[in-house]
Amino acid sequence: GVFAPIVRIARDAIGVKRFNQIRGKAISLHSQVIGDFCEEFGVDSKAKQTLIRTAKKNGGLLGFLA
Amino acid sequence: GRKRWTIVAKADGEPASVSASCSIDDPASCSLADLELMYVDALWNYYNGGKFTLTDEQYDRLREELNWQGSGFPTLRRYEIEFVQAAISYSRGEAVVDDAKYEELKRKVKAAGKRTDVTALLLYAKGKELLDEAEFELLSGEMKKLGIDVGMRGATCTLSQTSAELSNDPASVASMYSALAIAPFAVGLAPSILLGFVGVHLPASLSLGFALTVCAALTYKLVVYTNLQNAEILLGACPCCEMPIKQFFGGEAPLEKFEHKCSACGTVCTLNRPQRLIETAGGLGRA
Repeated sequence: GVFAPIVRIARDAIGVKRFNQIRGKAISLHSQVIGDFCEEFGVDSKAKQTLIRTAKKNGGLLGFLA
Repeated sequence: GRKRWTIVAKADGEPASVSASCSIDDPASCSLADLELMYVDALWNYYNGGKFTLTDEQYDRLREELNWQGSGFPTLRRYEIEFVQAAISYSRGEAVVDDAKYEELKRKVKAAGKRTDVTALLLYAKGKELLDEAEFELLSGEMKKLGIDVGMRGATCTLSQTSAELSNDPASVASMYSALAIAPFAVGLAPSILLGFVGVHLPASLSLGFALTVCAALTYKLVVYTNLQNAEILLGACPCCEMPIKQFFGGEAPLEKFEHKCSACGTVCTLNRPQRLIETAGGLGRA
């Protein structure tokens, strides 16, 4: 993915453990935003799960999960 | 506004009780649930001990407020109280009426159709108060055979007077799409900002025009990609506990009907999008 090189450089720079912590936090915040968005506009849980799966797939495609 | 105290929230085993802030002298300070419980207690005490715990004036005020709030309780019948008393005493193993009388009471309550929900609430309120857990389970089991689902939910559904209509909320739809447009707008502004760092300053109108164009295109793509197009956000009220219903309909082929489960009381409603109606809910059949 286009961001994979940046991810690798960042991981090498700050260490795998610290990097994974930060990435995990970012992912959970992102999912929380999706959840809050769905609750605010009455989107049901099935559609919410689809949105979260789409985000995960895109994260992989863009290289964030490298 | 009216203080909301959903009787259903107490359904998880905690005995129902009137909230502290409610006063009989100011019925407006009480929720429908408070008023109903006060009414039940007043009649119960009267039929049980012959002593009336409310003054005539308080009783009339309570009845009037119950009528205003659309409750079926003011028409509570003596045999319903007697039936509840008999059922509770049976569960305790101390029959207060003979079998023939109990059968007759049962027949009357069964024949009362939807009014069984009023009896269900009575049984629940008084059963929880007067019986221990095992006896209450016995009571619930017995009543189930009669088709009476002892609990708050059934009764509260019958007594709530809510509109079955759903209304679209264009403001929410607009703010939803605006929220989705934030990231694309930032992407559209990025070139101008980056150029600014290297000393190239574009006219504001050009930067803004470019950003808005990119924002519109990317937002449209994002909306279609996330299947949030054709959005309608329908608002209504749960026919059981009056909690607000907010339901999104959209996507490439928006659903015609949706099974909505109330987050407060669990009542399942069928929302009909084209007709903007809450079709069916819990024990209520509106079709």
